[in-house]
Amino acid sequence: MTNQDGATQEDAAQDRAPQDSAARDRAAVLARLAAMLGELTADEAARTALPDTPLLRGGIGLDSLRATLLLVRVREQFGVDVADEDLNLDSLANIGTLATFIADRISRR
Amino acid sequence: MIKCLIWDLDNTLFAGVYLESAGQSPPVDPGPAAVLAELAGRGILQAIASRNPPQAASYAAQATGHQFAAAQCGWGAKSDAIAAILHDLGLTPDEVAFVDDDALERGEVSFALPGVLVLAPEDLPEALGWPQFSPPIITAEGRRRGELYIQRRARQAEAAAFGGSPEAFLRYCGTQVRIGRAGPADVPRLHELSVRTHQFNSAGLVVSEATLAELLTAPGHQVVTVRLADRFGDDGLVGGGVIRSAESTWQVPLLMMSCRAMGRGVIGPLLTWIGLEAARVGATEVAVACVVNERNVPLRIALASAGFRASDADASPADTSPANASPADTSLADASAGQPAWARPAGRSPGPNRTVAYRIGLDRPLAGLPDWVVTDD
Repeated sequence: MTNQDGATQEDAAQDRAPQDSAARDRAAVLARLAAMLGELTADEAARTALPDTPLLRGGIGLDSLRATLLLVRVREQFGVDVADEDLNLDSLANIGTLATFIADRISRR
Repeated sequence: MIKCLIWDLDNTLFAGVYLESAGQSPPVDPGPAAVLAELAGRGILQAIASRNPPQAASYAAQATGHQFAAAQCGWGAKSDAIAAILHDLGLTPDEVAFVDDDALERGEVSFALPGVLVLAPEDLPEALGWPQFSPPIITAEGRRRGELYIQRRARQAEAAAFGGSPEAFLRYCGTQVRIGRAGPADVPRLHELSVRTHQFNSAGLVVSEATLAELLTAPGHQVVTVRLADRFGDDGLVGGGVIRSAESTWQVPLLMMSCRAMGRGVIGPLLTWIGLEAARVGATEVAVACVVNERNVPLRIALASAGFRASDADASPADTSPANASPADTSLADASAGQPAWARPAGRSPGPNRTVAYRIGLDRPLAGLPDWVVTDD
């Protein structure tokens, strides 16, 4: 809940009350994603990577197997099926976009 | 279908414990060794995950006369060793089996990697008859599979030491991707690809040899093949697709590629080639019908990178009616109605396995093919 990286300009553009809760949710999602990425890559640097770090090439460098395993864990832990709901997988652009997608789906419940 | 069997050594493949046999290594247990030879002959890879020094794997290779596709020796968790093998071979947990005499090790692997088929040595004789271990056909590529993964490791070792871009590495390896039209001789391997590919398979279903043979000469259809080779070895036929090219939108009901060809400059250029061919004859769009599941995420990432976007243009009336459209998913549509009968599993309903069209317009100039791609015509 203390991860200030979670709050970005896009959150600030929203109304105050939803902003607070959305930013809080997203920060919590980011923290759990960081832990998952650390486990999947066995790389401590992944735990502290900034939200704008790409998940695939040139960033965390997830290969297709690890990207798939990440989505399995996201489905199990957050109940959000990214593979099914994000057809173009734009949410895999970076850690922040994935966190935003998950937090957004959670908030719609 | 199991693509790789991962062996424990002590008291599993070996009749004894490697480190406890003073001065003399334990003999290979003839029963498990026969299973290994039989499964290797069916094109199933063999690998080692053992709590031993690496010499134990070399001894296993020498004693069985089999070159293992991967080996992880050490004192960490077996599930970590298996995860490393999956990474090495580009496989997913549900594509491998693990055999170990120790119930605790089997439990640890089952817990950490629930997809893995976990076996005790006494299961092996019966497992030989299970469908997961019985590929229906064994092609030239299948028989050479172990060898191809050994070449793959040599390639990966050089890639790790290579300083340049991924494209520069493909050129350094002398990569050659050959795209051509399928002939009757390609049918068994194309069928095998439809059985074995999941990460890069748009339709997610088995296409019979009879159907493929019919499609070869069907009016308005093209069946394409992709072959891959570099100086490390010849991978043979690694991919293919079926294109319906009669209309202004080229429909692609099937696209598939071996995961061995991942990262080797195949799937992106294949998508580019289809677009270029379509544009050459005046088509305005290419639409790849792709089943939406967790396993083919790699193919969908490749489609998105190549500029294809999922669209709702193929929505059938039932799919777009307000009663069926959920507010969050109004852009989702089931394109399976537009699929030919052979590419449309009976009884499939919209939902977990719906099919969506990934489209690209050909009004913009397309990128050219990279220089490692050659075409037959």
